Amino acid sequence: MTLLYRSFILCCALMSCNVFSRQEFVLVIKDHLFSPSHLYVPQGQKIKIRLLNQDATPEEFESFALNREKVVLGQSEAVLYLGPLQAGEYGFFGDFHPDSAKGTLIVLPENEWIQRQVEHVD
Amino acid sequence: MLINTVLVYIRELLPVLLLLATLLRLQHHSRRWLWQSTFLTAVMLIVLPPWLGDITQLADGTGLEWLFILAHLSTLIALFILLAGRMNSASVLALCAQALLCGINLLLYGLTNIGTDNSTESFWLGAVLGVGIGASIAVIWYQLLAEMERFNQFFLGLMLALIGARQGIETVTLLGQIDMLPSGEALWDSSAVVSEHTEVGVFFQAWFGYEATPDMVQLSSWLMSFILILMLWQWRRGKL
Repeated sequence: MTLLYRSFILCCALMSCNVFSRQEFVLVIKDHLFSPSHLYVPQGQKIKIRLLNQDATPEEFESFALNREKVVLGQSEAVLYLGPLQAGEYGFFGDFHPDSAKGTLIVLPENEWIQRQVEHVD
Repeated sequence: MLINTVLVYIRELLPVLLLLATLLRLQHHSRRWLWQSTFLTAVMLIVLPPWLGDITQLADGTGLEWLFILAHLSTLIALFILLAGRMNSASVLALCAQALLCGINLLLYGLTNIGTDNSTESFWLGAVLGVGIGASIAVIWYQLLAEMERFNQFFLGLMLALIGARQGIETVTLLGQIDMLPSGEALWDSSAVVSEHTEVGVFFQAWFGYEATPDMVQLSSWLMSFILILMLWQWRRGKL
């Protein structure tokens, strides 16, 4: 029983570390549009995307390529966990407003990601 | 707007309607479970909406996923119980869980459209069309099951196993989404053959949880649920 309890605590601790060590990105939904519409993230890393819905109505983040489907209520936020991802482009859209809410998650190889970071600091 | 509403309604209603058609074929001698499920679902959908906002914000915004995981797991467990012989209570549990999933998603979609300029009329028209198409598919499905049953009872077990496998894959996908399970690399990409965007893809997704780019965890859970239900079915019929 003690062993079971310790294993459970260890699992919880590992999962917490896993969640907290992720790099966070923000994706805003406003006027049924995603901002930024092109979100750049690094390859091979676990990431966390914070979805901020500034509209009054709910929206559903949906991506077949990423296997994700997440509802965000109006004037509310939600968190999405992804990765590690291969370099490439992954489309996503708002399921409730697919004509306007469209975007692409661009996963950059490590060197391109570092270069992009440097450019943005400059 | 109209087309999108039709698609959303069909996508959300199909899993419930296909399950309902299968359960109706399995239990054509009694309909008590159907009225019990309808009543319980109606109660849940009246009680739940005021709490929906709070539920979604639970556990760092993953509350809705936990609720959906619970619903999918309940359906899967209900299918096991159903095959173990407790058909009435299991059917109520399975149908209520699936109807809850469908109800919440449709309710959230309804919130985005009702009352907004120019879209209310399209929304209701789309909803009626979606319900009509979904119900028509369910009737055809029921007849198809009846025809297949004449040849071999095994087809009914197969359909049940496919519905169960969908619950398995949906559960692990949601667990991956909230970081409770690792997300691996896709084993294959069949989107060129059947894309999840298409009508066929939507139907396959609602029927057996089709995933164009599954990872190892998703595939394992799908296979495990599928094989377990099929084994239980064969055991129930004394063939295992």
